[in-house]
Amino acid sequence: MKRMIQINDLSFKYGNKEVLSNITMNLEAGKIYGLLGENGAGKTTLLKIIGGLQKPYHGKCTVCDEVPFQRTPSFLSRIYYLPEEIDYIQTDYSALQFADLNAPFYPKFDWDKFKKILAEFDLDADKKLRKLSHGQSKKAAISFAVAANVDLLLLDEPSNGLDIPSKTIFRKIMAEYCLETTCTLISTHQVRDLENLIDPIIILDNRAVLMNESLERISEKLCFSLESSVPSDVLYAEPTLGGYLCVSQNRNQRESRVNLEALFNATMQHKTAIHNLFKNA
Amino acid sequence: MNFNEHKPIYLQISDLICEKILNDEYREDERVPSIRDLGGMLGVNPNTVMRSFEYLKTIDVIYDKRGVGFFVSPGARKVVKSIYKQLFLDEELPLIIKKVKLLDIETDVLFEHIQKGLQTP
Amino acid sequence: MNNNTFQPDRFHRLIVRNLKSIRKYWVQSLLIFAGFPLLFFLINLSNMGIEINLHSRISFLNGLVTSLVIVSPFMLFFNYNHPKKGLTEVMLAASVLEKYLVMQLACLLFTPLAIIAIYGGMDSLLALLFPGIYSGHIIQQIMHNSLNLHQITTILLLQQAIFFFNLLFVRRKVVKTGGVFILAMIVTTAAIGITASLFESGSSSTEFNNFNFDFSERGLFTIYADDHPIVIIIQITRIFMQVIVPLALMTGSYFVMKNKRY
Repeated sequence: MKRMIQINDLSFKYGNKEVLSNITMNLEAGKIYGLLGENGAGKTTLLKIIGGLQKPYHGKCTVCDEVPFQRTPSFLSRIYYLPEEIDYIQTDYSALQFADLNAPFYPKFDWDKFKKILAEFDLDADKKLRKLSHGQSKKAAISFAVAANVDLLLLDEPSNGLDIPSKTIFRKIMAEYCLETTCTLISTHQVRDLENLIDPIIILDNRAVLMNESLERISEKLCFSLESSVPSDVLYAEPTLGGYLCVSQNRNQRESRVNLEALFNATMQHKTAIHNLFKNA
Repeated sequence: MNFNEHKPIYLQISDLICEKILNDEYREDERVPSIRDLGGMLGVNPNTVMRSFEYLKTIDVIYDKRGVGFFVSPGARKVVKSIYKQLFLDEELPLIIKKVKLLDIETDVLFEHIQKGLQTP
Repeated sequence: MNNNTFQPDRFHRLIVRNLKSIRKYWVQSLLIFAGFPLLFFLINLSNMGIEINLHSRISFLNGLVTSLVIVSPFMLFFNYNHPKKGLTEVMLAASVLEKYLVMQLACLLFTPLAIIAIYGGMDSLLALLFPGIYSGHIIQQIMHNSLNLHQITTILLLQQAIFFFNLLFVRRKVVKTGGVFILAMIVTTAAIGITASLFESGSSSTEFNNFNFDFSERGLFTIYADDHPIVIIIQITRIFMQVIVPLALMTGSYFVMKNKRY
């Protein structure tokens, strides 16, 4: 799979506070990555660096061999960054007018796709964006981002602000309309909103990338099971309906479904143990 | 579709396709929805759907025609039936038997219920 | 030409986008700038005894164009560097040079042309229809009556200052820019005062009081060896304020755009 983003030993700080320290990771095209992390873990900062809005003070970040902060037209035409706060879209234009203004700068923009997605989101394409509710504007922003058909799609908490039915529609739209060649990076702390959509999973902590693995590999190494009592060698357990949801090392090669919340909690509690588990092939 | 908590998603999607083969919704030598269409219908990562299709290919339930799509294999219905039959006998039935033992259900009561159930269409 | 720095096709698209995006201003501008000649016409028409002649109309236009051209960066591109509201423009696939040039073109060229065209057009229309009440065509006179170099460089200086600070400051920009201007005026006045007192103490006060020099006759870059030191200082200051500072501001604006972090 083509390597899209290469990050090496990246560090970033706001003033004196170091938000990212020596982060290294590689991301490939054709995948929908879920970027998980606690609040303040540096998810938004990472997205901004990849998007060219911020510059690291140490280390390297390249996207398709270009340095994002240079903001060359060739780089910009291949990416779309959708921030959490969508003030930029709340203008006096309608969704269609917004696209009319900006689509010429995205060479692969697909108008049919755009209109279809707007329809699936049940959005009034002719209403002034400023007059739409926050959730509606967010949907309009998502519609444009997906229809732009970029090589790199960066979404920061896209499901935040969407009502429950819209979250489902969002997942379906992402699954159906994102190109096979696109690398999508979605940051979230509402893991349930993106369940079944994101794969691989990246777990970010300020000091390190704790995990960057496909669900297939995670389910090879870890076992997620419902037990009536907590076994002694378990990595993480939480009480749930019917017993305890346990995360343990997969010694018996059982194939279980990865529970993202439990995975996250387990990783945050046992950073080194889990890191070592995945380090070995 | 509501996915259950315990089985990997790609297997649950395979189950879904097999179910539709069994009830004749997907017929032999007919095209099944594309990976992207199915992903879009279910809200699931296309790579997961692909994994599911790969699995179904290995057990000869579907085959793919390059550039055209995936099709139900001839004889898929038989294959699916035998796989799920074995699955039922190896995994689901023991669970029922375990419960029967736990709750002390008498054998003839059990068989009476089974017979009545088999008779109703 | 390096594809990533300047591409005529992309530059053209950017201009088109820029014109489309200020669509809401078109109607407003049309009404306001065409409205003034109409207002003057009505004043002339009414028997109030006031007549607004050609000369006054041209002066008014001068004032209008001057003031609007100077503040045009604020009016047209206020949110361009806002980390949230200006995101679309920052991430638009064009080079910083192209974006910068379009902004400069809009402020330096499109704005004055649009104002003059609308105002002058309405003015000529009224003059054609009612020559008795409304005399002369501004458009004809404007060629003879254009601003001199000194006025143009002053406008450029002020406008480029606003252009620069519009990009540099993000929050409370009007207040901060105003503050900078006030500071600049204080510094300038102080500098003049200090320089004047320095010379006053050196030579006799009568010589200083009799100092009479017409700068409008003197070209900007002309300095003679036997010029009075004050003249030399003033010439250098003029060069600095009218050439170097605007150029520095223009260059600075570009680099602020290139390196801004969001």
